[in-house]
Amino acid sequence: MRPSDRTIRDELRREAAKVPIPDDMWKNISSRLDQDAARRERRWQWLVRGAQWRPAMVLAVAAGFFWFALIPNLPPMDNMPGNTGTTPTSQASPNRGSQQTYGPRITRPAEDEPQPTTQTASATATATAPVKPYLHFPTVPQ
Amino acid sequence: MVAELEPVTYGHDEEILLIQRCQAGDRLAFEEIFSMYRDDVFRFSYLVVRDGSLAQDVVQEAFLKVFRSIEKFQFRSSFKSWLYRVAVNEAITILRRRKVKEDLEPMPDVSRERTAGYAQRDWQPEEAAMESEERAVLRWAIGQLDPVHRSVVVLKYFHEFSDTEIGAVIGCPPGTVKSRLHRARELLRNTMARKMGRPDLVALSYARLSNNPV
Repeated sequence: MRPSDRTIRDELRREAAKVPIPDDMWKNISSRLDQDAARRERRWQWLVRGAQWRPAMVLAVAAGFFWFALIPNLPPMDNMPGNTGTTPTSQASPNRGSQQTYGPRITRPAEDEPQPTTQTASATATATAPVKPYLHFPTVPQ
Repeated sequence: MVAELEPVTYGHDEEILLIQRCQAGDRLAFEEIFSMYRDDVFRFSYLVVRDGSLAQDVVQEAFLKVFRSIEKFQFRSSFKSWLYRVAVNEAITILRRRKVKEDLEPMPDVSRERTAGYAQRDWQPEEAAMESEERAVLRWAIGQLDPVHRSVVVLKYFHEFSDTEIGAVIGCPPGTVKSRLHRARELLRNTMARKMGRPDLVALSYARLSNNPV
């Protein structure tokens, strides 16, 4: 019952001869290779396009970092060397002379302005309402 | 003075030139190499997976993998061995994927019989009546082998590779190839004996297989 080598060989050859070899294999392989080449081309173009906008993106991120992390740690603008306090920015500051602020101060309620003393009940309630958190940078105690 | 050993390169000069052209991205050289090996690799794949459409998938995927990574080929082994190795791995992967798919989605009996091919085909008595009984049983038994042993049998008996070449394809030393061939023959003998109702030969095969656990 043990099959001889020759029997195995003949049987394999007979079975292999039964099936015809498809003739469209190279067509399929070629189209897949074309797809590979197109994919490589698209990736290369993406890299080339990225080379144009990527530095701009890096610059934008750096600017954001500079604005939010570096500016608050700068010395007060009024104490900057050469600042005599007569610049338009310094004059326009509502807290000039009482508090040092940082350069890009946007707005802030004047804390040292006198509060009105004679008001109606509704006006008093409005005046004593909690101050909304305006965008401002922290102050440095002198 | 000791002479410097040059690196051993395999393959004919023409084949080496074709591979070098492939490495330079020459599509015509790809096509020539494909034409050289297409028939052999397809027949090998068909005998391993036992299905025409699956064999076509194996050939296409194997050649694509070879072409995509041919730049890394350094002529330290035979190109043919490398190609067959990729084909064997691809055939095993496809058979495993098909088995998982069949386990997950059991097909109706009719379509299963039509699509599964010889590997899963049941015993057909009318076929045995038409052909020699032993040959028909042998063909069925070859289909029952696992893909690795089937690959070894096909490479040995159909392609007539040496044990060293089979070892290069399968990735094992020639001694392991010999023991795998022995085990494959015993499995064939065992399966055929069971199918033909010879319990004495089945017991003998089991005894031999237990002595050669490869």
